[in-house]
Amino acid sequence: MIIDKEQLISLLEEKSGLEREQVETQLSELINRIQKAAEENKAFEVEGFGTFSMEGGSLQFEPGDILETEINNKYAGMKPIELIGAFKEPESDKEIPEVDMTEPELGDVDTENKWAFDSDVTEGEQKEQEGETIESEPELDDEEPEPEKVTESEELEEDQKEAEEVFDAVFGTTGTEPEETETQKASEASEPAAEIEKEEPGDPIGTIIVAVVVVLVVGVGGWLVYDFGFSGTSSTEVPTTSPQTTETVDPADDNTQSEEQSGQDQEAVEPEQSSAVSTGEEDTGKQLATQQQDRYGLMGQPNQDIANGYTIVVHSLRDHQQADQNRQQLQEAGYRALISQAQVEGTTYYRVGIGQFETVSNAQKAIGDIPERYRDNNFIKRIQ
Amino acid sequence: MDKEFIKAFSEVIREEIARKNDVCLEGVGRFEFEHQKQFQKQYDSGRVVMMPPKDTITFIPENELGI
Repeated sequence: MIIDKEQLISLLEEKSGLEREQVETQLSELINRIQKAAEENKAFEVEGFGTFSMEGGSLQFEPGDILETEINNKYAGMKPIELIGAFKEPESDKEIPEVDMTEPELGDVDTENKWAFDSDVTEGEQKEQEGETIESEPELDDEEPEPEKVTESEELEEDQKEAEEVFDAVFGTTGTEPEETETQKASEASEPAAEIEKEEPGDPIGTIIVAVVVVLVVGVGGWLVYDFGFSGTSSTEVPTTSPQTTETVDPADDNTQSEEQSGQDQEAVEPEQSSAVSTGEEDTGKQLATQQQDRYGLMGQPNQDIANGYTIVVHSLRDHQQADQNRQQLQEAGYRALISQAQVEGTTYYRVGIGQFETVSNAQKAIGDIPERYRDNNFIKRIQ
Repeated sequence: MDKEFIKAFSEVIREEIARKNDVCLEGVGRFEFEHQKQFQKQYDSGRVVMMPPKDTITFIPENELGI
C-alpha cells in the first residue's frame, strides 16, 4: 500500500492533533526546506528521523539510529554467526563447477569451428602440420623425462650430501660442523618450547569461550523450555523473536550441538540458579523501590504516565495469562514490568517489557542489568 | 516549523514503514520498506559468516521514480 499525500496529511492530523490547515502548511514547509537544502547541496537533518543529503546529483536519505532500530526491531541484536567448517573450500567448489560447465562448451565449439575452417581451406597444409607435430612430439617425449631424471639424481646427490654431513656431524670429522648442528639443535629445541609457550595461554581462552558458550546454551535452552511452556500450557505461546534467535544460536558452532546435550542435563540445575539470582536481585530491586523513584528506569513500579519511552521486550506471547504471569514474576523481582499489545499479521501478541527508558541508547545500556537469561534475547520497543 | 509536527511526522512515517507501507512525500521522494534476507558472507581471511536478516527503510528520490 502506498501512502499518498492525502493519507499522509490525515495521519499527521491524527497524530499531532493539529488542524488540517496547519498540517498542510507545516508539511509543505518541511518539503520546501528539504528541496532548498538539496538545491544548495546541503544536508538536511530531521530530528529523530534521519538526514537528507545530495550525493551524485540525487537526493539520498540516511535513516537515524532510532528510526533504523525501530524498523529493524524484529532482528535487533542479531549478529553475524560464524559458520565453522565452511571455510574457503565450499565456496570455491560451488564456483568451479559453474566455470567448468561453461568453459568446456565454449572450448568445444571453438575447436570444432577451427578444425572445420582449416579443413575447408587447406587440407594439405593441415596434414603437413599434423605430420610435423607428430614428428616433434616424440622428441618432446624423449626430452621431457630427462630433466626429471636430472632432478631426481640431483635430489639423490643432495640426500647423499646431507647424509655425509650428518655422518660428519655425528663423527666429528670436521671442526666447525658439529658446532653448527649443535646450535641448530639448540634453536630447534627452543622453537618448540616457544611454540608450547604460545599455545598454553591459548588454552585458557579456549576453555573460557567454551564455558561462555555453555552458559549461553544453558540460558537460552532454559528460556526456551520456560517459554515454549513445557512446564505450562502447550506451544501456543511462541514468541515472535524466538525462531530467529534460535537460528542464531543453533548453528553457531559444532561445539554447541555437543554441548547442548550437556546443557540439557544442566537444565535441571538452571532454574535453581536463576531463582537464586532473582532473589538476589529482588533485594536490590526493593532497595531501589524504597528510594525515590525516577521517571524513567529499570527498577520500581511502572510509571503509567509515560507514553513515549522505550522498553526492553523480553517476552512476546499470544497467551495473555502467561504474559501476565511473566510480568508478575518480573515485577516481584523488582523490575518495572509492563505489558503492551501488538498486532503481527493479524494475531495479537502480548509483549512483556521491563524498564521504561527515555531513549533507545539508555535502554541498550540497561540490557546489561536485566536478568541474564534475557540479555541475548530481547528487543527494544517503543511503549505504546 | 513546529517541533510537535516534526515529531508526529517522523512517527507517522516510522509506523507506516513498520507496517510495510510505502510513504510518498510529494516533491521529495518515496520511503519504502525493504527486507534483506540473511546471507552468507566470506571475509578475506576465509572465515564464513551468516549475516542476519534485516529490515531497512530505503528512500527513492523523486527524480529517479519517474525513470
